[in-house]
Amino acid sequence: MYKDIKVLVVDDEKIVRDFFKRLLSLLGMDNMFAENGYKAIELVKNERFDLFFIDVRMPGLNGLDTYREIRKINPEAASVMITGYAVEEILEQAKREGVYSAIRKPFDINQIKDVIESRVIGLMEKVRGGEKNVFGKRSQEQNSYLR
Amino acid sequence: MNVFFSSGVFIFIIILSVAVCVRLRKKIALSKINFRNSTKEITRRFQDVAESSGEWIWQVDACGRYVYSNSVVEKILGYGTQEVIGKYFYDYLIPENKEEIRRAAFEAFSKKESFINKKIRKDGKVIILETNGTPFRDVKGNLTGYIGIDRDITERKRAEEELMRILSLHDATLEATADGILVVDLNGRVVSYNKKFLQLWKIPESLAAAREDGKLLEYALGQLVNPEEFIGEVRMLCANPEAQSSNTLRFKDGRIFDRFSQTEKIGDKIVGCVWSFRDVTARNKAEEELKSAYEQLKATQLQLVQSAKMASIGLLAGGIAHEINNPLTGVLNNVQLIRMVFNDKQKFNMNDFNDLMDSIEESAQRCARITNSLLNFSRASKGVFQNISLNDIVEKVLLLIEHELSLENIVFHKKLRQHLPPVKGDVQLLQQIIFDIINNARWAIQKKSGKQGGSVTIETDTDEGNNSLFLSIADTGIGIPKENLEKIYEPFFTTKSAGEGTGLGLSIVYNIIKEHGGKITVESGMDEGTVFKIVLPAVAAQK
Ligand SMILES: Nc1ncnc2c1ncn2[C@@H]1O[C@H](COP(=O)(O)OP(=O)(O)OP(=O)(O)O)[C@@H](O)[C@H]1O
Ligand SMILES: [Mg+2]
Repeated sequence: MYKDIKVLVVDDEKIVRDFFKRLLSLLGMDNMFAENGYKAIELVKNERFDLFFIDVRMPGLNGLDTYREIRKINPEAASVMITGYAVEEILEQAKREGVYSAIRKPFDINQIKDVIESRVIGLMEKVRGGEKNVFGKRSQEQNSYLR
Repeated sequence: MNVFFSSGVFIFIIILSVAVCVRLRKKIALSKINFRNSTKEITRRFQDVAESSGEWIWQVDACGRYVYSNSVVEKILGYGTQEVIGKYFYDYLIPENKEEIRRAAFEAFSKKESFINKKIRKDGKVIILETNGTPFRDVKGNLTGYIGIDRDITERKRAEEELMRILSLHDATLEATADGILVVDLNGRVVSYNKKFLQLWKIPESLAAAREDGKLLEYALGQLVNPEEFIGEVRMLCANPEAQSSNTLRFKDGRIFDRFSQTEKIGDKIVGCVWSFRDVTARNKAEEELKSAYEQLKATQLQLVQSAKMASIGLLAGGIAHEINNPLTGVLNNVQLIRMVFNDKQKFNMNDFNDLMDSIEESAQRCARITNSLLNFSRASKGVFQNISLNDIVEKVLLLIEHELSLENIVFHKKLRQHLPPVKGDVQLLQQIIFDIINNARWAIQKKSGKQGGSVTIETDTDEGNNSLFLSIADTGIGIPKENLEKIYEPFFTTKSAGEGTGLGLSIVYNIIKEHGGKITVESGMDEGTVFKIVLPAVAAQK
């Protein structure tokens, strides 16, 4: 079901990357990892991704800056900010700049699955030409987290 | 010249003078040649004796006119014998009280008493003389004059006056000191005291004048809170007169005296003891107030450390949440993952499963560590010193802030010497100093390089003998201008803008290190980065 979706997880924490690796593999998704923003940008330059999970607080390039850079190269992908500690202003700013969703650590697995699902739905609708409806019903709910 | 000889001479003079005067009164016309010859002989012998005497011997007529003087007069008055003959004795008196002395002189002569008078020498110098004279009568008993001796006592008088001057100076000094002074002899008897002594001890003049040492002591002891102790001191001093001692006396009325004692010597011989008493009630009170103010300040400081710490925890909230939520992900989400696998009736590869379990366990432990160090850090200091590991403290603080600072691209280099001896200290306080110094480093790096960041190098070490521990914290920040280096430990000295810093950090650091018997030094300069070096005493190895 998710086989066609390619995901990149950007987080400096190995624990978090390991968890995503297990989950995405179980879901049968194509997954890649970067431990910081610079490495992520390098990867994005070579490959197209459908979905990004980006940690907000990272040494080097922070999550928001990483998102900005990635979007320039790979604008059609959806980005989800993940955060252990939400600074409201940053999340507000991310939302204004078009971030798809944001989720908190520790995660609710279902939440992640929902985001992925809504993205898949979005992609399928996009395939059907429904470009306007990128944010599905569930993703609307997800977005409410940003408000 | 001894007195015996002088008086011998004097008697001789009287005997001889009879003859001399007879000779002088030629009108009476003693015609017998023999007698005249013998009179002449006696006069000559009188004059011989008079001449050989060291004193000025003279004879005056009834009006006080010199009729004879030996040559000593020249030594005393500067006038020769011939110059004085025919002059009145009072011609040489100083003018101030000439008439008075003249009258007194005749009276003294008649009573055969000596009197003191001042005469003017030929060279103008005033000398002091002691004059002895006695009336001289003819055979019929008529007064014909006086004979006598003058002794120059100028030197003696001067010495006496000097002594008096010194004594009065001494008295004045005694009275002028703010201390009460009591002088006792070797037997413990009161020799002298000043008024202040009586005032301080509230001793009535009458009691003091009576000079009864027993009563005086009893009266004094009655005022003390602990008279036995004082008596002990007195006994000790009597037994060791050489000892110099001091102590504090507490009075029933609340006053406090400092007592000093010092032996009094003439040459090498101890003749007594000088006790001085000083009322230090006010000073003591001031000292006590100071002490309690200091205690209060210390308590305030501890509070300050605590609030500074709480404030820094607020500062760290983001980092700490991050620090806890990451490993929580490793626990919670991995567990959810397992459940998901089971629910989907998927199979687990045994290796994967073990990996997962390891990951969960490790994450949970990390959570525990963070929570512990946070608790540890935020706990108020109990002021309890115990043996602790410096490396441990460094690690604990880093656990809390390392990640936070890494977000600002500040990298830590740790060079911790293994097997350090422990330091006796307070965990919370020592954590606080490391935290404060790192916090300053963070600011300095940010100030210099912004997002670029920099590095903080933390080193621990020990000296060869394991006597001291060294902790150095170096940063690559903006540095401290030389002119500020001396001020940074002052409370409220800050170069940060309002809201950025209060200027208390390093003053707290300084005090904490002092409390631990350590030292802090700093090396820095504008744009040079900064190194703080701390030396702490190591706990001696158990043998
Ligand atoms: N590592 C450093 N590099 C450069 N300057 C420093 C460093 N450490 C201290 N200073 C200077 O010393 C001053 C005093 O430091 P201190 O820690 O006592 O107070 P503060 O940091 O200004 O305020 P607070 O610690 O109360 O938040 C600072 O304002 C800063 O100018
Ligand atoms: Mg400071």
